[in-house]
Amino acid sequence: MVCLSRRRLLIATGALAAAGLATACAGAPTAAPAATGAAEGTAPAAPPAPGKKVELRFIKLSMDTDVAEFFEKTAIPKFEEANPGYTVKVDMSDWGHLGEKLMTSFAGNLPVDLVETGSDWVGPYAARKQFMPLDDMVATDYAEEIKDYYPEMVDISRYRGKLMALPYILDIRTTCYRKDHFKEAGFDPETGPDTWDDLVAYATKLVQTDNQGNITRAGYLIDASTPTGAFFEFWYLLVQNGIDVVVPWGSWNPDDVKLETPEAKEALQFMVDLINKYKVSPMTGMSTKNPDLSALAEGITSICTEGSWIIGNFKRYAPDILEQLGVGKPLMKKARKQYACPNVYAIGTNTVDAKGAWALMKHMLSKEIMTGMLAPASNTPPRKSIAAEAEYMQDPLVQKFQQIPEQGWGTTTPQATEWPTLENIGNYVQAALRLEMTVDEALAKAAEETKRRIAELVEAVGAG
Amino acid sequence: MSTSIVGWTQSRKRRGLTAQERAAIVFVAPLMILLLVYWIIPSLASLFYSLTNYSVVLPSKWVGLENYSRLAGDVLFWKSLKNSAYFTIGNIPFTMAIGLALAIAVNGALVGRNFFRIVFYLPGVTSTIALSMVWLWLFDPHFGLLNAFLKLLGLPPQQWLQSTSQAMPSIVLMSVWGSVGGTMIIYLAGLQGIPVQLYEAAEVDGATKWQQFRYITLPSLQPVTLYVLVTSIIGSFQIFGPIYAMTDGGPAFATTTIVHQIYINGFRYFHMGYAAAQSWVLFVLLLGLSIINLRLQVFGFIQD
Repeated sequence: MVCLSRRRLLIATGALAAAGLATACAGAPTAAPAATGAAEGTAPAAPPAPGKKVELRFIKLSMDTDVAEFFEKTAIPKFEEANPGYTVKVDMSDWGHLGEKLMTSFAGNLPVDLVETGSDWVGPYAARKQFMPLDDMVATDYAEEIKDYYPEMVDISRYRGKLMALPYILDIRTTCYRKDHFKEAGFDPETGPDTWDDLVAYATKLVQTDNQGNITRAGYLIDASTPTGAFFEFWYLLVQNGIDVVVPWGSWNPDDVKLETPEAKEALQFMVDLINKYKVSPMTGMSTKNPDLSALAEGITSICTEGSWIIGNFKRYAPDILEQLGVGKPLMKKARKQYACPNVYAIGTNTVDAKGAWALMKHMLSKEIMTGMLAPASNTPPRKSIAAEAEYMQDPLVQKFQQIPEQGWGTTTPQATEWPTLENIGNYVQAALRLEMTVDEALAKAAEETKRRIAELVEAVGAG
Repeated sequence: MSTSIVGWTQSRKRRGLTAQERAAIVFVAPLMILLLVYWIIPSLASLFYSLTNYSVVLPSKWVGLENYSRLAGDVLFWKSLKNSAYFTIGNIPFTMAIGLALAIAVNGALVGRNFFRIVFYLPGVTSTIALSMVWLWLFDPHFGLLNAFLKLLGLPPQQWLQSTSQAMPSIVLMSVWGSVGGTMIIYLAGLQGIPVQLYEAAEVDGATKWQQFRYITLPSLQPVTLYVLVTSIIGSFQIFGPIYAMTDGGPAFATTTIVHQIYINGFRYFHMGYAAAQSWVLFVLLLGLSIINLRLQVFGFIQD
């Protein structure tokens, strides 16, 4: 038996500690080697050897019940059936945790074979060489198919000219309202407010309060209860006031940050006034008694800005009042603009099988699967043929959403800002809305931190 | 004296460890290895990373004390420090006072005292996230139970978590409710360790209940109080779960705490080096506060 003296024990413990420390200090394994090769456009990996199974990891954002059912029972089984040798492991996430999931995946070299994300996420991930360029694969076997997409919704996912992702959904938002409320207030139920001035006039007449002055029905609902919500509401007004969101798309210059411009200040001041001067929306947003129902469907607001999923929400949870849903044009101040950006699929550079990942992406983007995924929630498609032919797209309400990018009323996303940076701006928007800071102070602080974040990203990865 | 120690040491060196000592090491080793792998090595690694610009997915470079000097000018860091102190000062006195009161109540001859002990302790064994979800609904400005209650009393509804001035007190309220049970259990154990004879002698001497509490109970509970105080300060400065689940630091940074900032910098901005520096500042702060507490006990300030 080996005699374990204290000295030996200490030596052994010390050696173990040193080894562990060395391992820890060596840094986590990164995707850098794979990323470097793949980012330079190297050929996809070979298909699985005969008899060998490859598991593809698909990071998928959470879905409505009907969409999830189609995804689980149709979309994935069909891919696995058509591609023997491949299985798909679905890793669900929500938007709030997607960044963490991606970061830990790349750090831990857990394959990101396919990921669903937003077009505004593409720039930083591409700059870090974490998303794989798709140009070669598109040129090889998707050249005809890609002509079916709205070109600007494809180009928004380019980084340094290379295509890093493909769109699967158009997230288009516009002014939505309750026709019955409009009729009661003497407004034309077939047209919504057209300008910012109209919005004030409509909302001040539509808002309802209790005998203590608390808002029981918002005239125009501003959902600034979270930093994310606050930033989106600010985004809508920024673009209508004629400026880009934070920075022009493609710019990685911190000096291009637009948050301190007169237009940005006017947009935020308008938001502050809607809540504090015109009192058409409570600071807190509005909660629905039924969490499945949207605020508009429950009737606790008369006007709000929504995506086309509002139609799906009415159809599923309040079908008897669907005819009361009105969809208007984007509001006009200096420009008739509204949020219209695609969400996208991208392949991580640490994919275990680029060919399989590309096959999965093409499958998810096929007309049949895309239609099956978008139709249940009335989501608008990035493919022109689906917009023209799909049965659910014949609904005039859905068509009103689809017309927004077609009319050139859509906006682009900032490319140089990570989502947390936009959330950070949302915190300053909240501060201004709560009169904790003046509009000038809030935007100056938001601009300072945004410039720093962009500069850090540029310095870290040489982005731009 | 020194000669005998040298002799003893040499003798020990010659014969190695006894069977009893080897058995002790075997029993201690699993925990020591776990501590080493999951606490000591990561802690030392984080100290190293705090001196780099480590961002997890990109090569890191040595930046020396830059992360620490940047903290001085980081408005959000100071805001988070202030919020953490606010939470700690708001949370601890109420948790300790109510916990002690409940412990005294359920230590006596109370009908159904076991039932009350369980009921008061239940929030302490419930998941923080589950509690947070329930309290989110209670605090809802439109349909929340708290505003409904205020309405019954004819009082105006409050914004609770949506107000920059009410958000932190709301979280303190939830936290006190969730943690008094644990404090109660610790005090209860302390109370049951106080000899009954002390109270009997005091009664014979004509001491009132208040005098018994002031001169017997409180001094006897001093070690327990110190333990609760130190662990509560550490726990309060490390508050994260309810903040993450209920407000995510908002509105307008009103509830962002140090650990929340560490999380934001580490896992949202991927600035792990900077987050590690914040962690070490928090560690030094808590170490300092704990030492002060222990010194106060040594010098008898707490007892006095």
